[in-house]
Amino acid sequence: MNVSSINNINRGHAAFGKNKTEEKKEHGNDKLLVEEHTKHPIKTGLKIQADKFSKAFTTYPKKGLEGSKNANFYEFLTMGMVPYLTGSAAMIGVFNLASKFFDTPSAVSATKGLGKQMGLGVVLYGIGKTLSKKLIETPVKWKYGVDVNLPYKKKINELPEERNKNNLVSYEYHKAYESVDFPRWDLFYDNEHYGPERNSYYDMIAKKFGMEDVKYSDQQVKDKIREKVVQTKVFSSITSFLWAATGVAIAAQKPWQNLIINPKTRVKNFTKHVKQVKNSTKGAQKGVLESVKQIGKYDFFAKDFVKKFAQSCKELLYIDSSALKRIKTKLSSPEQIKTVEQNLITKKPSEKFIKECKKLSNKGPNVAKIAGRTLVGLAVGVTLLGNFKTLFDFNNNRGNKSQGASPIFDENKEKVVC
Amino acid sequence: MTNILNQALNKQPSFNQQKKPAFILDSEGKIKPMEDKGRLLPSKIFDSPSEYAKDLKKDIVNIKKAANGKANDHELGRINDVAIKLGSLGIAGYLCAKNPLKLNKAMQFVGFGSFFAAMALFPKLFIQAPLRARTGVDIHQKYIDSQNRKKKLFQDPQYDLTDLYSREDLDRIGKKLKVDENLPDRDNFIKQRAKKTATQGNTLWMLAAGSSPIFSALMCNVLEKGVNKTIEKGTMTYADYNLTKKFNPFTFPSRLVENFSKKSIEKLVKLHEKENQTKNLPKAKTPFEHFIQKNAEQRITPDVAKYISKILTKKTTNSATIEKEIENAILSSGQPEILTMGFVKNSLKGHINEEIFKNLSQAQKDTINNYLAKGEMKGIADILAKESSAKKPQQMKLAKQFFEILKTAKKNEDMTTISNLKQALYKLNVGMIDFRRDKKILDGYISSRVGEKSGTYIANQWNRFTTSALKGLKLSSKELKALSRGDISVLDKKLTEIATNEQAYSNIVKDLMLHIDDYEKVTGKHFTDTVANKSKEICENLSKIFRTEGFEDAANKITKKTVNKAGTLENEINENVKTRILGAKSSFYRFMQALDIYKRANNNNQLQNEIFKILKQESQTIPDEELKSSAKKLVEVCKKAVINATTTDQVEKFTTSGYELSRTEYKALMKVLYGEDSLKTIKNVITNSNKTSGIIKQLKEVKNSDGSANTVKEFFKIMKNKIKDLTNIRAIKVKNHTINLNESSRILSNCDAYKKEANQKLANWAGGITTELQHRVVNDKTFSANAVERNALTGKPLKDMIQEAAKQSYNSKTWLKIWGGAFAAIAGITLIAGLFIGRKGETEKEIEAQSKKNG
Repeated sequence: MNVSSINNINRGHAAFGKNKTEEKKEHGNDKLLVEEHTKHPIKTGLKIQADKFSKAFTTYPKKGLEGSKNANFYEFLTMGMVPYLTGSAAMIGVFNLASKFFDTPSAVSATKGLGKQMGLGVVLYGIGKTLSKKLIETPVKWKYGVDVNLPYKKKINELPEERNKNNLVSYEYHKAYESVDFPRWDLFYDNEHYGPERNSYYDMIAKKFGMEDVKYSDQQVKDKIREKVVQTKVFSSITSFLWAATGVAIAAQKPWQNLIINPKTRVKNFTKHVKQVKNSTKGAQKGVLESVKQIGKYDFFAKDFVKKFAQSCKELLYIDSSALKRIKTKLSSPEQIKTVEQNLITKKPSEKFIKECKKLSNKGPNVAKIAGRTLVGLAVGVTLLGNFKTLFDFNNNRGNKSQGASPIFDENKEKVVC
Repeated sequence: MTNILNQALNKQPSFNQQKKPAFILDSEGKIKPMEDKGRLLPSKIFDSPSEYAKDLKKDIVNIKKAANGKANDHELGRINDVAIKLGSLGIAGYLCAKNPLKLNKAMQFVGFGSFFAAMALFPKLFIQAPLRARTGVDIHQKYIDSQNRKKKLFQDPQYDLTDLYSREDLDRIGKKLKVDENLPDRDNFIKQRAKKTATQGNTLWMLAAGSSPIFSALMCNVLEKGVNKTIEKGTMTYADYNLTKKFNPFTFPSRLVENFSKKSIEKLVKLHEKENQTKNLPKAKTPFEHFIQKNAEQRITPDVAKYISKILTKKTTNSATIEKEIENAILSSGQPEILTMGFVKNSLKGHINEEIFKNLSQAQKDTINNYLAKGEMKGIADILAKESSAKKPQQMKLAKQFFEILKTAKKNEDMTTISNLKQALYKLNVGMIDFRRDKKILDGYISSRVGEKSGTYIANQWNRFTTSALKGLKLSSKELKALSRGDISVLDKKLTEIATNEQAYSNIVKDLMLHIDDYEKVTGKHFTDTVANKSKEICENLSKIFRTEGFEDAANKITKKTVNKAGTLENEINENVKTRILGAKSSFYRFMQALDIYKRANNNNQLQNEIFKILKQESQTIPDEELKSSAKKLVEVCKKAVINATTTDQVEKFTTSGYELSRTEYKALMKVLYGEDSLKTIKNVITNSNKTSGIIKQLKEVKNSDGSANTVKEFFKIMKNKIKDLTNIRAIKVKNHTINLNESSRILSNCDAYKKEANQKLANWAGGITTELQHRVVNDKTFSANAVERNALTGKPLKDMIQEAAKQSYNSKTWLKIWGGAFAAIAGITLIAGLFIGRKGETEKEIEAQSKKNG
């Protein structure tokens, strides 16, 4: 729930009557990070997250606990990182940390196996939640140019306080569309990244919505953008939790119990390899870098992880790998034809028939299979529904009314809500 | 305010069009604020369920609106909360479906609920409530805005809504915060302090919220016991209901399975037919071609038979016997091919020179006939091949193939084909459907009481018994740890301690005997009779169908018409149940036996004297001194036996355990352990704890008081009052360890019955008192001298039973210690940190000081 706080509203963007230079100067305090976000999306994202992370654990708690008059909702939300991370650690810890205090090997290994699954559950929950949002957001960005994650750097002029009377400027990283009530339309005006015109951004969006040569493109598309932002947000929110649940379901499969994590040995192997590389003349300069590049050659964790992930997915969905194989070997080789003939002579049923029998004998109401497939089906289904809803514009008439045609205030009413 | 901005921002004129903003002109002088409808909601720690339901309804409507692109920030935020719950419900639902055990299934939802409860409860209990009590400020105060949306008052510190506080609210908070009554602009001062308190409280909440998983895990830990108990009771009631009502909830899944098996059989037949068509053989013209085609039909191999059997039984029967029997029945149901010389001749007509047969010598003909009788076709093929290749090599191409087939053929080769068996399979399936349903109901009934999985009565009763036993042993945490790691000396020490403490001994005995009494009630005659009757009924029904279809052997494996049902499925069901009941019961009694032996051993050499007497009776010629030393040794063996002995020890007469016992000594040992005097101190406790034993005495006194006989009426009057007393005593039984008359007599007679059985079947045989071996057949295996029963009667060695319980107890205590401690620390720090919240800052102090200075 992102409601822009009152002091966060840049006074500049309400100043309609000012000329271009003044306008630029005023909202120059808040900077849309479109260049950085387009050219180096990962680097920019990491930079922002690192800033938020460090402040969430240091500056913001301090301000909040002091009851600072400058504390705001952004800081409160950013501090959400603290319980998110500590809670995840606690969840992993609850099932893992106690195991070494248990007395018997069986108790230790039982809790370790379960602990691994729980730990992975937390990790895959996070990965599923974060990555799946892209399934909704990216297509919208491609089709309409509306990037709900576009960041901007916000300058905050704080009020003087008891202990902070000098350092009165702070910066926050927001997203231009984080609020659907108050999107930062102003940041897109006169933005050179989109073109020389004041409305270049809105022109671009209008084109993407299929509106050619429109006047006042900003007025034409704002409602459309808002609609797409709302849809993107609601669908990415719902799908993200369904994919997160799928992540946990994958983590609940058996193959993970045998995953060897063993960080100590792996660090040891890595150091050993670094030394080896350094000793050889070729890689003497970049021992660590080379070792990281060659990690697949001596550290099989990633390979093992991918293998177990694939096995777990198969287990979750009850995919019969022999069925896949059968499709592959449908075009039988002469040897296989010979085997079939041989089977006919010896009156043995073919392997295919036996496999079918086995499949039939295992057939029955399998609740876990139904549940696994339903969960994944739901995640895929809602994602596709989200794509469908967000990628097609069902309401072409909206937003075509220009300012002049529709008065802002209803003349029949005498009051407005405050 | 927000709405003005909202409207203004949404409808703001384009910068391209900014010369004449319309709204300034048209609305000039017409705007005035609408009446403020915002109000605070009553401050409370928990919302009512109806409020939750109302909010959820709103959220669902909002999702629908938002999917079409219409929502505001507030609604999107709420939708996000709903999505979290939806995802979590998905997780709980999936894990519940994946887990076969009812308790684990239930715990998934308990976990889901407790996690959200923990997230909501932690701030309420450790931050919100203490702060509200101390400062009067509810940091989670909610309000309804003018659009009727429920929001938090202090969500955004920059969005000041403290104007919504009423006069009373301000006075109350002011009083709690001890704000000077005469402070100028006092209301504003209080509002600022309230806002500051809320900012501080909310920050503390964020910092401590990471403990929710720990809180949730602890809650689950506490709730698990209750959930388990509820499942146990629920499963038993459900199983009873299913057994008595023919129409039951199983009908639905049963129909599903029925469809699956019916469809599976049909599909199998179709697949088979298709498979045989793929040969694309031309229509048989010659007998040879006909032979090839007929014989080329796939046989039912053991593999296929196994799968067909699985389709029919569909795992629901839960029995390997029946699955195997159906498999065998299918495999042996084929008709043997009639292999005659004429058949061989006919088959080869037109392919080899028939003259070959004419030219065969008598010796060759005899050999062929001999081979035919034996069904060894290889020899025939060899002879014929030799003859024909010499005569007409060009005809050999097809004949060779035939010889190849002949070589592998046997007289009684498995001629079972699916086409032959098709009709029988359909009929068997119909019979199996009923059987599967009934067997599932019976299995459910058995499993609810004695199933080998957690959450059943027997598993829970075992836990209750061992927990009480551990509790009664009064172990310190060090001793618990040592015991969990297999230090048996702890057990020996504790049993000795208990034996010397009258009160502790009486308490543990009464506690445990009541558990045994409960166990005997639930798994008693009523239960075993019900299982016997039901198993007989369903097995007879199924075997009838097998007999009709000609599968006599399989029918006999299901049940026999004779009294001796050994080796049948019916017998297997009943024997398994009996053995399981006996195994746990004997283990319980074994603990009592241990208590009894230690008590007798520690009571002025009582046990030693008893053993001496037995030894004396057995061998009067041996000098007393020697017997005394034997008796002393046997006391130690007795102690070791109750703690360690396995069935092998009983059979091997403890030789493997390092004791050399003479025949007489061994006999004496068995008498002490299972004979007349065994468990006597236990029985004493039960008899003495029976507070109502005086009733009989009273009754007698009344009867004899005036010397005349009581009338029947008077007798019943007295009895009525006494029964009333009994009921009262029963109600307070658990608290003061009083065992009523009915219970005590039942416990004593059950105890005797167990002793008698153990004595007859275990001690007498092992001690060489009875030489008669009792043979028994279970699952087709013959056990001499009732090995299965003896094993069950020996029970689980005490060291294993208690060590397992100690391990479990130690592990859960360790877990609880670590995470309970961690949570207590977090909660403590949060509470202490809360004490620093809402205090006056420098500015506030300055303002107050200034105010005082100004008077």
